[in-house]
Amino acid sequence: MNAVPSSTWFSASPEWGWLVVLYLFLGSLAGGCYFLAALIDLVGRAEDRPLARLGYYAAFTCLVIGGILLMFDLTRPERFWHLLLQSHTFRPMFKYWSPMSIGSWALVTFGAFAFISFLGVLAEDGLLSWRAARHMRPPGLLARVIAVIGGLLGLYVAGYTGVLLAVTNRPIWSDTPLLGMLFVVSAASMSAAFMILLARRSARTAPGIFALHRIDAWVLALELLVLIALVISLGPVARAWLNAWGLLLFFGVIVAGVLAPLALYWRRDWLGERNMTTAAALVLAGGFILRLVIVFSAEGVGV
Amino acid sequence: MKHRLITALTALVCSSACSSPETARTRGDGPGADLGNRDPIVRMHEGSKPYAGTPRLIPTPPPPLDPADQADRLSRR
Amino acid sequence: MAEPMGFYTDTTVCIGCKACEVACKEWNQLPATNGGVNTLSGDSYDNTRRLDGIHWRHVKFIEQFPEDRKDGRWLLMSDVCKHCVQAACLEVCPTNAIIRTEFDTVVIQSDVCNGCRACIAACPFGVIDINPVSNTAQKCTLCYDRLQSGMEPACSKACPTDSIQFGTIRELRERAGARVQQLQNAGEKRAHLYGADEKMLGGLNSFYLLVDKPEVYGLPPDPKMPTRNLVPGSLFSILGALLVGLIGIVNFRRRGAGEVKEARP
Repeated sequence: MNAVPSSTWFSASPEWGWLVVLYLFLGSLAGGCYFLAALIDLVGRAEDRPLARLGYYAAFTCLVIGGILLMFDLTRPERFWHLLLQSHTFRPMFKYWSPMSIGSWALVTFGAFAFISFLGVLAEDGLLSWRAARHMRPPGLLARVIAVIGGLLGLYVAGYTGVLLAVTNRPIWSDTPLLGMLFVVSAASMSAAFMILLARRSARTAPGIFALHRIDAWVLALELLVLIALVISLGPVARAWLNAWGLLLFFGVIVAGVLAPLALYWRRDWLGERNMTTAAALVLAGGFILRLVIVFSAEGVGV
Repeated sequence: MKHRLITALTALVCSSACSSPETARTRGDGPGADLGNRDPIVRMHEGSKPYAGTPRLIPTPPPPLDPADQADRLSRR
Repeated sequence: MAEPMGFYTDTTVCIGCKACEVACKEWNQLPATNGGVNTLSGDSYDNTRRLDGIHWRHVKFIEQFPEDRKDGRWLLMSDVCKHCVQAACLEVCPTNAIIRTEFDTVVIQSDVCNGCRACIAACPFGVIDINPVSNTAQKCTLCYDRLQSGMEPACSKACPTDSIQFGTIRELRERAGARVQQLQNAGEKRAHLYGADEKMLGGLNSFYLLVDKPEVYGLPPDPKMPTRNLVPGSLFSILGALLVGLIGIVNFRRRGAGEVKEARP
């Protein structure tokens, strides 16, 4: 009786639902967009700056919305500060071994950097008349330091959620060590796609958009490898995906979100003008469906 | 030899830095991963309302039952 | 620190009366399910179904009957928080709402918990859930308030067959060992203890005498700490970040000018 593939089958669901899925999506976009924008600032050319600015705007906006969603996912939202401050002793609340604890601090720190860069780009675009804010944009040592630290924090915010899901005892999530890597890689592909879409819309097309497109192709190939490795690492647990969620993962993520955009990249003239935007939209949708499947497919599993 | 020692030491430091104090805990040992965020009197009965969500057939006020009032009094004695 | 205290549950003498469930609800003043309207599970005498925020004790009814119903037995087990020596919930709790008491037990402070639900996902036994009245995570406290005033927990006090026994772990283990021996001698070779020794999460302060495989009772045969994935997960994530960074740097540096022309005639 009850031959189960893993001891994780006996745990209960935390009921992390739509708010968390949306946060995973927005948090990944925030971290990824900041990272790409910082890369443009650090190693890109001056004519790509408008693209970087777009990235910083996107990062800050996504982070604010995502953070609010996360707060309201708590069943006691008014106690969100308990994550940062011990409510009885008022000492800092920090457990370096708990991803949710480090993640809370990372979100706050990354939020500060995203806000600084947001002010910087506002000033650069002439929307904010504050001289000091201009120093937060390159060239300049301060700007470079901000870009390096903020970019790394961005990647952290994009990836820690995967490790957080793994540091549980839930089926699928904790049966593989690769979720964090998958989320980092997928965040990069989604963010590149998001920035392509934004740049196309805002008519501030910079040459860097082609670099983004190329990055997307490379990262998507990497994402495919990670996804395959993840399914293999699940071993017998992978049978939990022999249902509608598995179908959604295969067709929604692998076929529509990875293989189709890759095909569009190699066959550049298939859809003509719309080739790049179609690919980007598919990548973005694929990233969302990926997070949806990961979060919800663990729900129904168990004894 | 020296290199090996350094590698081993680094690995040790890394793994101990990343594992929580809870994983090495034994019975009756210290607080483990508990950082000590507590008052002398621990509150654990916030959801203690026996009549929560129960429809009342007769509209009289329920008897005064402060959450785990008795437990609270006993623990203060 | 007082001596580690806990429960020893001898499932072979449980009669499924649910006195423990009732005593627990009464002492902790937990509300009724569904506004007191009785809902039947329809597949068992067990209508509690699982441990959650308002059920801190749950008597499991496991029916082992063959198709022809000629033979068979009921396995009854009063499930509760295991008060693990290495507690997964306490480990991940990001607000330190979950504390370890002087009795070596694990207690959730309801005035600290903010309902992030990390502990629910971390517990390998599926013990914790959100209490819908307080909207915080709750579970068995091993009657911390009663222990502090020198009383035994409500459930073990109420248990009419002494299936649930309370005491110091040392004493309980002796008693449990003798009982296993007795059962083995009487021919019940499947009798064994679950969680009494240090092998499982450093030991469970609420351990069980079972007469079948743990899975049959809905208990994980091999519960693990959630942080087992922390180091490998982080290393793989760093690898992913390095690869993504590399791809980004290479592509932003080497931007084909020809490509720009080609795409914009």
